[in-house]
Amino acid sequence: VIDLDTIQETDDETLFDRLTALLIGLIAVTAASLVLVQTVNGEAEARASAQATRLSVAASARLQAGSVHLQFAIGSLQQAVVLQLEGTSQQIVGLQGGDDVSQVRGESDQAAGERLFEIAQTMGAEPDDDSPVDAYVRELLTSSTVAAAEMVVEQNRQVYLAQDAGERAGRAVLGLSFIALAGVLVGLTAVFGEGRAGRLTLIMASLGLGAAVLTLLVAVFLPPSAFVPPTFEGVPLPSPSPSP
Amino acid sequence: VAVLLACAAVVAAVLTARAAFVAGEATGAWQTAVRDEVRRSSLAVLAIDAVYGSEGRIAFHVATEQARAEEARARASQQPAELATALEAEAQVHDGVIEALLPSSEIASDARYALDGGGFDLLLRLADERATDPDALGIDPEATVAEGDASSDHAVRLTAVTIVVAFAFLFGALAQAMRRRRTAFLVLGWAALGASVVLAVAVEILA
Repeated sequence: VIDLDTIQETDDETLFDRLTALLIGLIAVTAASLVLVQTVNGEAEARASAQATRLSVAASARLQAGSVHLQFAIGSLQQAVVLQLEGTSQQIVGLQGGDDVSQVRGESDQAAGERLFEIAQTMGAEPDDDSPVDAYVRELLTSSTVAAAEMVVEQNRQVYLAQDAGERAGRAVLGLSFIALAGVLVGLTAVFGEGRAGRLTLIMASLGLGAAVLTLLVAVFLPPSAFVPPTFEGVPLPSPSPSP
Repeated sequence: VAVLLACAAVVAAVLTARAAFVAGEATGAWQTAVRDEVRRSSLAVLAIDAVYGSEGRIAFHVATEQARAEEARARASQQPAELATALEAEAQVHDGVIEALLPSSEIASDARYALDGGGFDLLLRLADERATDPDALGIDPEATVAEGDASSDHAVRLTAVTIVVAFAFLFGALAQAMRRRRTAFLVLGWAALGASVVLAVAVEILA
């Protein structure tokens, strides 16, 4: 933004030259500050966006894995109960018709159904700490609906953080545009010298610097809008109050 | 003054370039973490679906037939001959179904998975399924995110140091315009530049 020749034009030690030199230095400091704000918020935006995508995938995996496991667990329990009911029904029919074979078959199936219920419970059990599966799969199979919903809330919060950081980074870029304009104007000031045109461009450069400083302050200190978490009917969730 | 300003410009350029490079590493690490998460969850869900959604159903069907055959035989021994024959025939029907299903069920046909009280150990099967791809077990997106976080902090610190360089530039500019205080401003400028170099080195060492 600042040309070395521009600074060399300011060695006449007049007030005009001192102001020009001061303006050049302040432009450099403000530009560096804006770059820092842009970097901090650009990084925060990139991180939050990536985390939001990651959490979407993670929540989806939990719901999908839990659904497959639950379908098996409930389905096998239902089969066991149906077998018990069929056995009982067969016994009643056999008893009513005086059919001994039907009765003993019914007894056998009812007993098999009762055993099968325990087998279904064992085969469909969630893994505990001693189970042979790895920690991640254990986490997927034991994750509750509330945990998945909390993950979605956090995913939404990350999207919100990314938007907020993106807006702040955008303001910093706007400030850098003002700084670039101020740098060009102060270069013109040095070329024009202490005349009317020089003073005019010096004032305009000062205004550009002022606008950049204002943008910097807004980018850093403007409070974010409140985060509104999503709601899930019937799922009890804690009420987070995050802020970036 | 010119040397100070030139040195400040060089230091600022080097710091900015280095910060941009390190920030790129951070962004890359976060994107890698996303890819890792997709890969890790896809592989895990596929394994769970294979075991509980496909293999487990056949295995449970075999367990059902086994339980029915065993219960029929257990009762046959306590019944008169006619009923015992009927129950034995019933058990043989279930045996036939088991024989037909066994070749299509790796779980039911492997004695390692059989449970003492009947049924099969699907979690052991799932662990074996996961163990066929050891790389998948080592995927750790959280660690990759932490690497990205460290790189990001590094980049931000380097960028912050450029503010100190900017002050060196400010003092250099003032030294040029104020001859009577040139020495003082030059000292301040070089001090700021030296501090920025020391800070940059410290950031690199601590990273």
